[in-house]
Amino acid sequence: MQKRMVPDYILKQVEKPVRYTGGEYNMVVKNPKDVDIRFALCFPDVYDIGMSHLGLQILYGMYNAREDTYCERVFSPWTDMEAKMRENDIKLCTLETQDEVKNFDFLGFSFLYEMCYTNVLNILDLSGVSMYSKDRGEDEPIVCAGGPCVNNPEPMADFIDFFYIGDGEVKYDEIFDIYKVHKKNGGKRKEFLEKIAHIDGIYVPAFYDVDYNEDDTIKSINVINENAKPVVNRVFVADLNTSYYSEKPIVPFLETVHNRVTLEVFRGCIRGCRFCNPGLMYRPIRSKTVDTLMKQLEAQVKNTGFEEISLVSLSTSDYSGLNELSNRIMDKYSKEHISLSLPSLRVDEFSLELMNKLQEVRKSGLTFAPEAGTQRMRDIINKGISEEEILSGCRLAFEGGWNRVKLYFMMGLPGETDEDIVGIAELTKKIVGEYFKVPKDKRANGISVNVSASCFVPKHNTAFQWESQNTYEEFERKQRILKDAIRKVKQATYRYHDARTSVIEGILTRADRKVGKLIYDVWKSGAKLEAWSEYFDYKKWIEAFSENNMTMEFYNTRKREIDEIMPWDHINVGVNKKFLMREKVKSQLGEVTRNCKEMCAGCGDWKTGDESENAKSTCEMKNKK
Amino acid sequence: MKYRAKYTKGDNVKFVGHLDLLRSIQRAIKRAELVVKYSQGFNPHQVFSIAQPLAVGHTSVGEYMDFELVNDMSEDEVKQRFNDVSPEGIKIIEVRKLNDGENKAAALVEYGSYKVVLDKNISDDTIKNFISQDTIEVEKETKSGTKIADIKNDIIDAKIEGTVLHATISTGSNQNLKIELLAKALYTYAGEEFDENKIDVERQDLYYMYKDELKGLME
Ligand code: SF4
Repeated sequence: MQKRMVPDYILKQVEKPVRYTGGEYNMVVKNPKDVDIRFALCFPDVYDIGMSHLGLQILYGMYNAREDTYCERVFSPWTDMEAKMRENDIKLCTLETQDEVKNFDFLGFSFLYEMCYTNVLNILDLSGVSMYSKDRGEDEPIVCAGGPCVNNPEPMADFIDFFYIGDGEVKYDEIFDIYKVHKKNGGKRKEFLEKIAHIDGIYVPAFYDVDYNEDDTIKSINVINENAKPVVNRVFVADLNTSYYSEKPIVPFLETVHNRVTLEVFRGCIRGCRFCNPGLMYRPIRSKTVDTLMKQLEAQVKNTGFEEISLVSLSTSDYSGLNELSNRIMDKYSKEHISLSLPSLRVDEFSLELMNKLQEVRKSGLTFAPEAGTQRMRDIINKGISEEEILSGCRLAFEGGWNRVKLYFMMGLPGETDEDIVGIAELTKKIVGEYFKVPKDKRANGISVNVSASCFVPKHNTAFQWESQNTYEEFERKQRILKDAIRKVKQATYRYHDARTSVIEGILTRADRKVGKLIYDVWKSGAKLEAWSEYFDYKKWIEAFSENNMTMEFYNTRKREIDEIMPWDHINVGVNKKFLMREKVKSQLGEVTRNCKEMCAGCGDWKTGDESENAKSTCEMKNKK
Repeated sequence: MKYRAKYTKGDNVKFVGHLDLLRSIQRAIKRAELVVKYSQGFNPHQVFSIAQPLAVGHTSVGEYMDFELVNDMSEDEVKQRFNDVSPEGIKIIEVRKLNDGENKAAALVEYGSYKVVLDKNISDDTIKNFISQDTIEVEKETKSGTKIADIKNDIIDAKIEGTVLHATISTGSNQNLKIELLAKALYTYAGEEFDENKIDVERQDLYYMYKDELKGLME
């Protein structure tokens, strides 16, 4: 019988027990006695969500490719399981060996979104690992974190021993090599951190301290350990064609969100939308060739048996080889009943034709993301799409037989007026109008338009990082305006989100170190799984702020001065601050910046390795010029 | 060519739900490069079926699937190819080709034999008396509430060895008895408290009735 972290009679009482039992096809099996390094990799949400992230498969495969390392997975338990664990004093274990996480060498998190921070603390607690970095003993795991959120690591600085900033593929070998020697020699954890602190991409928060001004803004960020660098450079892969990809991804038993072959076609984004953090944080722009992708696909299809292939990136329409690639995939795989899906396509003539080929029979809904209702607003956010382009895209779609449309907007954008909100309803009305212009015999029967308007969160490392976020009341007022305006468009329904989650996200994304205490207090009061609306509790945050004599306004609604030191200023993400400042000014003037295909806007130099003047940029768009 | 395979659901995969198991097997078949025939029509699907879903949490050494392959292949090769690439715990024990016109396993199955590890001591005498009652009444949960049902006819055979109950009971789409229900009735009869999470169930095999005799699906 297989060893299990929890006895069968408990597993029988919880929802989806297979979340905890592992054993999936392609799970890596090693004897822990044969390795030097045991790494517990944690995507801090429940299994079904965590397993849906491409990054997990890459890191898992890559670490395990090292003979001396065994990387195992751990996720947040759902609340039913957590209750049983606490009741029976069962510690959190990995899926692979069902061994307790607290005995591993590393516990590595990927910070997927800010709302998973309380999960991270909960996982530390359930594992029996000291919460605060400063309290951790020599026999406890080194706790590290990477992922999309760590470009502002500060709110979690007190809990994490070191952050890894940038693409995961680059520096792990160096770190593991150092660790191996270090462990053999019986070195102390602080010594290990000192040994890796100089490596690009590595940020050891305990080696820095922060001075504050009287008004609570940052006075200075100081290096307090001689091994640490004043500025930490984000690391990135130079060539995706030669970097690691997972040949044998795990095939979950449970139907997760992305149970299919998922391949990244390129990293980065050529569109410089001013609100978008990932669009900049995954730069420079680097593509895989069609040949590389076909080769990688072949291995993955063969090793998984998945019946669907999905090509992902931030904006797949911008991949130059898309036409060739999709044709080659369809030629090769459609007879094997393997389908191709292309999320995040921009709607235009080419993509509609492609989608027509892909789905043959069923026409599912189409998605447009105008993001703002008026041209003035779209120019402010640099959403490079005109009303005419939106309407003609819709017209083509309606003529092609689509009749269900989803529209994504944001509200609370910088410089927004009530007219811009009403503009969302007006644009929706015009889109419906396009449908009725198509002759009856040429269009599908009945149209439905689904309007979604999310609440804007000014993110760190974007042109809007200095801006004020709307208050909760302001969001609610705008939601009412939009609701009233949209009611007049019979064919449209408006779905709105609870603004409160966006308010907290707004605080966490631009937070400084002091917010760590709040996250702790909120967790202590029982918060977890906050990305699940049924578990998000705004009151806990309000209470934590007031108990700590801090205000939310300082973090979300306060407009920052252009020369204010940001909590993440000692992290160099590659996109330079001057570029962000230029973009901020241009946005105030309503000026657009062209996309990288048309012209390089000089967001960063993107050189790797050798520091010489004529080193080549790794940004393929910049190089084209 | 149509095939039937008898396979296991081991301890390490016993919590995999029925639909998830189905998908996992289909993916294994794909990896094995066993080309399953697709049905004709508007929404083509694989000619593939599983007999009598196993409850989540149970293991089994006698599960069955039927499928049709595009190519003719030896039974051993089908078994070998599948087992090379199937998840741990989901392994084919035996394969046989089906004759033309043979019924699908899913349509045939009427009875199942089970091995249940009990958490209480119940003597073989107790079970003898238990099954020789005129009626064996249990509370059955139905959509419209609980109902009293007589399960006597659903029990072909039941005996105890040590703390292990061996029982053969109705397991089919027409007539079905949950093994837990039988165990509960037995516990109640013996004056023991029953917790269905504390017994371990393993299905041994599936059968159908032919001329008053239980017949296996590989025969
Ligand atoms: S360097 Fe130029 S081309 Fe490359 S991402 Fe930045 S702006 Fe675009």
